[in-house]
Amino acid sequence: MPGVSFVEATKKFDDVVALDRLTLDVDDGEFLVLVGPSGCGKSTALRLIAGLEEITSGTLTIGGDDVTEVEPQDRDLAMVFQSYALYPHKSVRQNIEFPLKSRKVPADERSARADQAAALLGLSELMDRRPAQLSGGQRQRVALARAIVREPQVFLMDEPLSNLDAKTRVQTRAELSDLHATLGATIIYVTHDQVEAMTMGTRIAVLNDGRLQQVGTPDEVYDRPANLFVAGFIGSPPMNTVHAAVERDDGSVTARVGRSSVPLDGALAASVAAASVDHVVLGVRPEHLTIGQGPMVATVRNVESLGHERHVVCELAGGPHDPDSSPVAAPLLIVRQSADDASPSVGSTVELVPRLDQLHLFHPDTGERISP
Amino acid sequence: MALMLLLPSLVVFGLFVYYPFGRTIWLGLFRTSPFGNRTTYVGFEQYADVLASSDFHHSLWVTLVFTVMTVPVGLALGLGLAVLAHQRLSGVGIYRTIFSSTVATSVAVASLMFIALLSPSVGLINQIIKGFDGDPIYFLQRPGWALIAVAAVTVWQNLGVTFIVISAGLQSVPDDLYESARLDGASAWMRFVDITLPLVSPTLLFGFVVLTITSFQTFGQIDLLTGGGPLDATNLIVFSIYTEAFRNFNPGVAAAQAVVLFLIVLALTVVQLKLVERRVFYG
Ligand SMILES: Nc1ncnc2c1ncn2[C@@H]1O[C@H](COP(=O)(O)OP(=O)(O)OP(=O)(O)O)[C@@H](O)[C@H]1O
Ligand SMILES: [Mg+2]
Repeated sequence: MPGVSFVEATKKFDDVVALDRLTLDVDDGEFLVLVGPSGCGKSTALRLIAGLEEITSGTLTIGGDDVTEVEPQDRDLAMVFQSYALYPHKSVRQNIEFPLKSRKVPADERSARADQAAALLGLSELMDRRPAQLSGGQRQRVALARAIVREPQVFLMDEPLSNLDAKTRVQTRAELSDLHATLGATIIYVTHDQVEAMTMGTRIAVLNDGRLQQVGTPDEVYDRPANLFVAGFIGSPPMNTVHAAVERDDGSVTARVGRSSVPLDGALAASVAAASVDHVVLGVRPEHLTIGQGPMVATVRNVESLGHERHVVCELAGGPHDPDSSPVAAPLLIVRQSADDASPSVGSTVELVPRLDQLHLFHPDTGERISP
Repeated sequence: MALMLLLPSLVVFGLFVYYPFGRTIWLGLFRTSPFGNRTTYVGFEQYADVLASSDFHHSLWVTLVFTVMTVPVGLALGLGLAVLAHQRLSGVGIYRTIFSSTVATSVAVASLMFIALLSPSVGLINQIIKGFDGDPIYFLQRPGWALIAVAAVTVWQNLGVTFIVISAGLQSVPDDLYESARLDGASAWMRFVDITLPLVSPTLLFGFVVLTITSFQTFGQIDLLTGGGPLDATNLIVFSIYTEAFRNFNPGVAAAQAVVLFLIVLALTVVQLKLVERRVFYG
């Protein structure tokens, strides 16, 4: 099974740089999830792999071979388009069979395999309908069935589950994971959905503005975000980040925001020293903050209950307001509480306790991670 | 109120469509004597005469042959050019302009051009034939060639519109279907047969109906190129109606023929729409 590699790959549309010097290896049989905000170049990356767009500079190899000259039909990959791209004049069955038909698979084998793919995706009842007679979610499943029916080497999936309802989505997610396990195919999967990214991928690649921000296993990306963008993008609600001044006082190092002062342990203190900064961006995930007796003083601004958990929005007391560099500077912190915890009342003053071994430090100017 | 709003269009349609139409049917009920203005009411007898007349049958037959010669070829050429011009290649805009340019050419200009091209003595085509030591062909003067020559002019003349209409149909097929088909392994030919053809079929049907109707109404080329001859070989039905009315001064017969023509075109259109509709995909 071939892996896919980008080396310094750039794609420009006239003067829009859709992908900027992307270097990324997708291993053989890997399930790589591409995430990033709208317009960051995810679909462009898939289209380059598919051969639907030509790379502007850099190289792209599949299975070690440069594929610049290889036509899409010869790349042995299947793609689920963001727009589904179903053939409107063909029935569901004809749509699913089309990749087999164009590769001259005999009719009886074709229909058997189409039936199998359809059954897997719960489409058996709909085989004679036209795409126009299907719901958005059903169309998406037809697109998936058409992709998996051929069992190619590489799957490219552009938000294939975005239109499914919660239940079908969980099911289909599991089916895709199974499929990946049984076929051992390489899957490159684009999504907006945090949960999909965290649960399905063997690795996650985070893109922003056409640039790769970080690649790693879901845990790596979540636990050690490489920069402020990743910290804010992965995780829901996102990581709390505030500007803090570094204060040194006979051996102990603290990060101060307004009236709050968070002690930095030896490793963090060393990383601050190594970066030689006197300000840092301090990051802490909402689940690593509790309300109790601690070093941070805040006022409760809002309490959002989600049923199983609660998000308490707090404003740090006396923090610097720098509206220009939000979200970093707005000294608003979200505390994630279990629904069993006592809910604080809006307007009250509370003390917050951060998990000191779960603090993240970022460079105040570049936004790069400086803590280990 | 509703009547008030409809009134302007009723007046315009009444004046310019329904009145002349009714008047034509009415005219068909009167026979004009060969030597004067005396007209006598003969009722539907004249319609029966027209339907039985061998001249009329001949005109109808020639028109039918002409239609079969022009419509499929015109559509196929238009589709071919449109597909070619739909490729994303540099400089393709120039070809689009060239292909659609016959739109800007009137029947008269086209006819004059072809008279020059087809001329037995100085025409380019016969020059080429002579270059190969062939005998010049009297395209517009030989019964066997005249209809073919007129059909060629007509196909050429219609090509611009056909090209533009089919190009518009191609534009409406989303690109991602072609992309998906390529990834599904479809060759260029399969993409044409499996994606392009079915999805432009409504446009082709439209072109088919319109071209058929225009071919039944062909007049200008005939008048300028052959005058219906030689030996009535190109005496298409509208030209024969014109001859009847303004050369033979037989307005009654002409009117009766016109009404019959109208019914034939109407029936053809209905049949075409019904027949082809079932085989055509609508989004
Ligand atoms: N054919 C094109 N012509 C010009 N610009 C394009 C073209 N395709 C994409 N772009 C631009 O390239 C950038 C990346 O687009 P892309 O479709 O890859 O984003 P995306 O990450 O898939 O976004 P989304 O999540 O909204 O689907 C965008 O700024 C987009 O406007
Ligand atoms: Mg996209």
